[in-house]
Amino acid sequence: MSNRSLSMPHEVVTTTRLLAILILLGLTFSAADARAVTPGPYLALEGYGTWLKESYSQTDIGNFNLTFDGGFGGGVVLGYDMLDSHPSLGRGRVELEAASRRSSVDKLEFVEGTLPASGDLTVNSLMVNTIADYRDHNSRLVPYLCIGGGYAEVSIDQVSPLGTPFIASGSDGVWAYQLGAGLGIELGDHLGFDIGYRYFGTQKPKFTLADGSTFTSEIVSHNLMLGLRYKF
Amino acid sequence: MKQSCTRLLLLLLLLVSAGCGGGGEPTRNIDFIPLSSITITSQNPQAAVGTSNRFSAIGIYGDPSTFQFTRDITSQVTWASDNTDVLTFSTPAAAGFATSLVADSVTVTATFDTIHADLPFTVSNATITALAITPPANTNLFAGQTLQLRATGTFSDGSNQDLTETAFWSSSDPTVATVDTTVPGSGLVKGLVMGTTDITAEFDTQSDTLTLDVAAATLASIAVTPVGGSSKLALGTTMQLLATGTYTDGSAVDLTSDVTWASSNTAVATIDQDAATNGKLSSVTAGATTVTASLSGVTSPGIQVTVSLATLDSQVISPANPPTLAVGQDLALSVSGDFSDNSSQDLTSDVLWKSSNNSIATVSNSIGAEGTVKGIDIGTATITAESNGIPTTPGFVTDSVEVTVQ
Repeated sequence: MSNRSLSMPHEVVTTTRLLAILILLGLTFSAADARAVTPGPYLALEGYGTWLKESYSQTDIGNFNLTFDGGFGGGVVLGYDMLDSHPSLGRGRVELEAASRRSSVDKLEFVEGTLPASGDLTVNSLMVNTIADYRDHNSRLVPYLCIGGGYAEVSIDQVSPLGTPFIASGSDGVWAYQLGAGLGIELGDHLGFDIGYRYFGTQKPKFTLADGSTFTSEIVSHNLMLGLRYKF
Repeated sequence: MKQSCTRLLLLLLLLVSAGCGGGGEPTRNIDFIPLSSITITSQNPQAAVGTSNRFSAIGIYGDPSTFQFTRDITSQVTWASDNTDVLTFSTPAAAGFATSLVADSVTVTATFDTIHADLPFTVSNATITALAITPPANTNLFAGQTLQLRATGTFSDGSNQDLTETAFWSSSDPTVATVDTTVPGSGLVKGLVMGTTDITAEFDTQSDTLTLDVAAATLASIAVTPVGGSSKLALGTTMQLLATGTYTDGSAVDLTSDVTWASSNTAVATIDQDAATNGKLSSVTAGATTVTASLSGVTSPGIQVTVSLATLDSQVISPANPPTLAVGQDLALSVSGDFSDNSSQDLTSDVLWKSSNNSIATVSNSIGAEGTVKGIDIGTATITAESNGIPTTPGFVTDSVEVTVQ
């Protein structure tokens, strides 16, 4: 494991506070019977704290590593909660998730040593997720497992260690996947709160170096997610 | 619910642990930070007329206030002397190698793009007063091995100079050991066969000799290989392993009967150490074991052998149509088996050989002679190879061949 900082960015803290306020409001105004859930569509907002793994990047003349600071992200989800009403299809939820995560490049590691670097890496994804809810009708707490696949546009800003351009700005579209687990908290008939973990990865996107040659990078991240779900 | 939560927790831990780590050892050099300066170093502080000297160039990249690293760029710079009548550089193949011609002071320059460095250097007219060969700490030399010798000269002005690449090297018996006289590589001795030779270094009026004993080649490594190539055997069968030793002179010798065999898991397979069956691995139960062979302090890398639960589907005796035998004549038969996991094995020493008529022809089950048929009297006998405890697949049929003795 690399030594990158796990400190939470300011934006993540802000998102966390906003979600906490929304939860309190939801608890205040939600109906008393949390178990009167019914099948139907839902809309959810998500906030992420994201930590990209050290990325092994391959060029024609050798490999280097990219390390990142902790980042943040957000997403919008449109889904359908089938509950137990469609046993032929299965129990749980299906959803379409549009999300964006951004992390700053921290360091570049070469044979001769490690250089500080700057620049952002952004992953915009559109995923189809299936969620298996482990529902106990006597509890407001609903643990779940999640698996999803989709498409991601991975973009990187110009990276200039010591002020010398090394990586050129660019982006690449690749297939993506995610696995996750979490806990849903039903706040009422319509409102729910999610806290969860997502392991998100993509195929290796291809980027361009400042000298015109190309390289590929491994893109895998750990994500802590907070979300609010409104069921229609 | 409790069970589900446990599963969730386990999955979460699995995901997190799978995602830890990342990256790898970088193999790319920094090529985007420009060279900032060059430092020249010299093998000797000065050189006497007629001797050679090596210069090296170390490139310094970056800025010490931010990030700086060095790299040997001896072969990338252009070398020059400001007076080639005094000191001259050789071809690029021996970058940094210079020969002194007359006594004087010169400036040596190393240039890379627009960056260059200078080093004042003196060629003296000192004369050599002594020459000594400096052997390394360990002068034990086995046939096939090499040994780097160095020659150091002492001069009339009291200075010392490395003359390894200046001196003329020779071996009194090049059949025992040779010595390299070319640059680079001067003074490199290679032992060929056991014996004694004198290695001499000469420069101008001085010389030195080192008597070198070359010992017989010694065992350098052992490799274990299964006969037939596959490292998998079915339960109830055996496998013959070979140990091949490689000596310092590059020769390879079969050491199967000489090594000490070891199986890391004798509950899975045991290995014979008997004179007649050295290296024969016998399966005990399904599983894996690692086999090694050792001799004279050298141990082979382990070879992993797997014992499977595959059953014998079929077998074939070769040759299928044996030639007619004369009375007293021998014929070697072999049998191979195909197993349920699609593997094949030689089973010649695993099956039980039987003859339908021992008064016509016998077949041996003796160690080392399994499957050998001997003609006894005129007639015909059927030779079969029974599975002898090897688990068989339902429908398995024992193969047989007919042997005619005339």
